[in-house]
Amino acid sequence: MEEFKFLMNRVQKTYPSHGAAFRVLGDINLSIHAHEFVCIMGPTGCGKSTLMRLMCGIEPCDPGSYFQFYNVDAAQHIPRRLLRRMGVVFQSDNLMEWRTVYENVRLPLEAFGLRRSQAFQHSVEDALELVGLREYKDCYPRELSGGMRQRVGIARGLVHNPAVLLLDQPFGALDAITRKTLNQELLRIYTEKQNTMVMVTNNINEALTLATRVIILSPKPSMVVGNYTVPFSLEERREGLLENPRFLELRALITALIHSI
Amino acid sequence: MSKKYPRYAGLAAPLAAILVIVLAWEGASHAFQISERLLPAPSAILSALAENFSSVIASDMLISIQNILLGYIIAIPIGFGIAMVCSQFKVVVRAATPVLIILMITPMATLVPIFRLFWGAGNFLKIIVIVLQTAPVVALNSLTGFSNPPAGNVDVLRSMGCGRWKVFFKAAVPNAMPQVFTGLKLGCILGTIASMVADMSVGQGGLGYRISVYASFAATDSAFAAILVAAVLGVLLFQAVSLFERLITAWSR
Repeated sequence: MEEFKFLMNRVQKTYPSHGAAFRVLGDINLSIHAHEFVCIMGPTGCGKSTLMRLMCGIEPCDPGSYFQFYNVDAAQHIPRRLLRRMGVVFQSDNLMEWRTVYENVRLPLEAFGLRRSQAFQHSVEDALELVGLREYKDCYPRELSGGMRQRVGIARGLVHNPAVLLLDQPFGALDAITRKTLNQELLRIYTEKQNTMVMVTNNINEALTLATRVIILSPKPSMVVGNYTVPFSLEERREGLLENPRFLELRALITALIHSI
Repeated sequence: MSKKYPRYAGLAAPLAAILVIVLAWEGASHAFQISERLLPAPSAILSALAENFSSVIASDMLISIQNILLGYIIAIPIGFGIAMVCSQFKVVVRAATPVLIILMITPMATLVPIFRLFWGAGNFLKIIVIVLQTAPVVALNSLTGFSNPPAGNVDVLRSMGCGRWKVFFKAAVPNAMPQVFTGLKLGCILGTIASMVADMSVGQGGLGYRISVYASFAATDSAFAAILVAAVLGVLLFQAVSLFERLITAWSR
């Protein structure tokens, strides 16, 4: 049996709004396999972040939705032993201001009861090393720049060594240069850890640099309207991707689709 | 802190202000020959303090310290408990807030004549008054803090499968520490005042009682000496709480 990380069929999400039901997710059909790097794109306000909130178990799907995580029904609730296999990086870094960098990164270990585990003894240091912030471990978040704060967010997402990393527009608030640097870091982490990545982004260059597959959502109530495999090798992704003719072709195709919906 | 002052300026400036006031007071009472019975000079107050401290005022001070500390220590968990339970339901936050404000504003010492019927005149009654005056302000400020945990932090914890109480203790409580300490500082001020007023209406020792006894004998200098001790007590308690605040909320500065 093929292992799906996520398997979604007719997933819907409705919010009550001024007494009426407001459907954000119309009918999402999507499967995500192990070791994929999937980028989810779509026009502003199309429900990308809502889909992300369902995937990381913050909110339940509407009744009748078929939603599996690790081949387990997770439409209403994702059990904690499965949440442990998932790391989440949020749009705003969501760091706790009263915790030092080290304590922020340690949070998943506390929540999942792994703090005393031998296997995770050095994992906070390792995660900070991975994002290049080891010497900042005793700083408070307010002492860091936006890019550094988001790096801490990534380290927190990775500290419990999850098989799946979900990223909701993690670099949206950052300047172009920092964004490019963090893209390359994320690519390095992905190649190193070989985990499954699902990332929402509104930046087509970012999506094509990182993703092995790009998913396009339509406006509300949103559905999957595009599904593109991104064939570039690691070397191509690392350098000169913007001049690659296949990249330009794919980018034009996806941009046209997003503009047409 | 945006501007760096020399370290001693933080302590020297208020001390200088106090010194100026005391000297002006001393000078005025001699220059205008103000009656010792109405407003004794600072020097007279200090000598009255030296004369009466160990024989009379010290034992009243110990009673006051005991009452204030006991009342305060009992009030804090009660205030936290009320805030913790109420903060879990938006409706209850709405319902509880005005009640707590009314309780906070009501001078609890006015209940002494009634409560005396239940518990008799004594330290127990005074401690109850202090608790009733202190707990609502601790509860109200903690409640404000507890009921607004940062939404982003809550999302992070929920994505790790944390339930209501884990979210409360890991996000709401630490985030609320600045507000909690506002409540604790107001609480120690109100508690000190409540203890003095309770002494005055209950009797049975305590600095408030001693002040009213001295005043009824027109021993104004000794009354001021007892007031001075009460003020120093209040300031020391406030400073102790502020010290804890600086240690615990270092992240917010």
